[in-house]
Amino acid sequence: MKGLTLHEQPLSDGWMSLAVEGEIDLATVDELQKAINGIADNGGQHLVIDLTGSSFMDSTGLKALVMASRRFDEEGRSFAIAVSGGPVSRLIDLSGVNTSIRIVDRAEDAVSGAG
Amino acid sequence: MGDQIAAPGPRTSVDPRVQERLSVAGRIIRWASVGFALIGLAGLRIALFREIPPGPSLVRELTPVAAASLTTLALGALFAGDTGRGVFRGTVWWRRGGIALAIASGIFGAVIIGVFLADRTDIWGETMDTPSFSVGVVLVLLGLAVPLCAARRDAAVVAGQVAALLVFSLAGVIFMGYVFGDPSVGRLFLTPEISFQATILAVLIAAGILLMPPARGLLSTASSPGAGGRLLRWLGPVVLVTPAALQLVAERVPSTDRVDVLAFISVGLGLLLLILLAAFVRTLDRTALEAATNAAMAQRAEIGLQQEAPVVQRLAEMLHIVEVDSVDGWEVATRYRPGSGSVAGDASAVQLLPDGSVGLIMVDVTGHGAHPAVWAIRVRDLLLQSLVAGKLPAEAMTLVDWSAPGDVLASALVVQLDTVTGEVRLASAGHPPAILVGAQQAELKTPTGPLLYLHPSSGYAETRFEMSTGDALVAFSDGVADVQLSQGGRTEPERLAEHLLAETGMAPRIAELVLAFATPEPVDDQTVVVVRRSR
Repeated sequence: MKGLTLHEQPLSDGWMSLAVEGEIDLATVDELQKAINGIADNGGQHLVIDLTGSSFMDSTGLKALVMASRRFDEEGRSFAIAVSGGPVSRLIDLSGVNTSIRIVDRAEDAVSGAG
Repeated sequence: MGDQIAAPGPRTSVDPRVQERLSVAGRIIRWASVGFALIGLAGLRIALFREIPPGPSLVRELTPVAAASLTTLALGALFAGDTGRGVFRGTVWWRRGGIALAIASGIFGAVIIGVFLADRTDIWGETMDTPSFSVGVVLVLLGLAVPLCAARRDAAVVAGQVAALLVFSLAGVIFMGYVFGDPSVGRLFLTPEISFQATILAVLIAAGILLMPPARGLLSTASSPGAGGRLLRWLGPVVLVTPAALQLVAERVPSTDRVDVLAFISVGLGLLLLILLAAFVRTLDRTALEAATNAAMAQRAEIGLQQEAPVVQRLAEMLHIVEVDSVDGWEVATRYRPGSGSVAGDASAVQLLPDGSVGLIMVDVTGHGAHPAVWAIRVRDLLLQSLVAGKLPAEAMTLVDWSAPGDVLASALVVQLDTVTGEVRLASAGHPPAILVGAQQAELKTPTGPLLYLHPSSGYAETRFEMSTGDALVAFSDGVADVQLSQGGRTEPERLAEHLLAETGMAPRIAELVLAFATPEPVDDQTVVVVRRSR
């Protein structure tokens, strides 16, 4: 079973990027949730999940992103997802998650307000 | 009602039968010690002790002061240990009084020791022949032991019991002194004037105090049914007589004339052995108890699974409802293939509606297990009832989306099919696209709104189209829509549509084709519903 590769990187203006590589599904979603919670617990930072390196995501991954987005919203912090085509992007579009979470092409775009 | 499966009861570290025996023994010994002390106090001589042959110069009746102090102590142990029982029932003052008597005895013992160490030879009008240092030590130890054994904290109880046990070891050494005569006893306790009867009485009182809390401290281990308890019951008495045995060796094989030093070493070694044994058996018993508890928990979990299995099975049976498998001119086929685990969040229904149309519902709640399965059934039934109540698919979806649970997300597909005209109304909440398979093309019917409960009250649109003879509408869950294929790539809806293009088989064949296209052993549940117009 392949795990996820997660890489945290601070961006400017209080943003943090969490780059995800690999397939996000039932077997790996806990890793993603832990990483997100770790950043959320630190407080004060905005978060962009960079899924441009992720080859697949199922509904459990989608739910993890939606729940994380709700938490950041409740805490008055910004949350975004970076995707650029592929199965992950298609799932986000089909599910309508793009109507409730800010979607950008690149993680850096979350900081600049593009997308 | 089915067969009841008995779960193991709560584990306990104390064998109640042993505990009851210890409790009864404690009461008997405490009463016996009081009786013995009163006899001694009355100055009665007991023939048994009078006739002990060796060391006769030390065998004498209990002196009045020693008898009085030990009697006080015996009464203290009785009152403190038997509060709430028999004549001592109904008030805590017996207990408090008992502790006070014991403490007073202990203080008296400390005074004896202090006076002796200060080399005073005359207190309370008698010479230091009676009672002397040894009685002081016994009184201090047992005077401390009573309040400690009556305390709430386990550590205090253990300390009290160790103090009482130390009196046992001392008594053993004293008896050895009697066997070997004046010098050794004299050198051990500096003065020889402790009576044989006083030693017997001290042992009785110590035993009564030791058994005051029959299920606590060292006795909780001693009365344990586990290996630690058995070991302590076997080895405890051996350790208690160890000082006497060591003293016996020292007396028989004198390597030094400092027998007093050897005697103190014997007592100290005995105490150390006792503490080590207690620590070891407690650890042993706790380990065994933990293992037994874990085994019991595993057994309970297994029983729980056995008991819940029918519930899960029933839940799985409720996930997919097909009330119509054919309507005049239409075929319906459903297939369900479970993924890993028992149940997931897929639910479906195909039902004839009151207006003669056919309703098709498919719901997929994210997650696995009973919770999403229950939610899937709930959402499906709400959608179905909305259709039954005359709502159109998009209206049904909007209605159900209105009540948003906290952490549930669901995709849903609602289809209403007019079996006469072939008109189809379809609403999709972020659900994998259904495929309309015709003779010339296979068309994806994409979602008309976001996932249910993503952001409630968003409203849903509706897609309308007609199905001609030979057309089939293929609906499936994401367990089919997006899984890894053994030949590489994924079962994307577009690829599945290509696979089904121009398929003219009946509904069951199409459903089988869909499942065959997906991975043989899916991780997620796979649900397929095919409705085909045959005429």
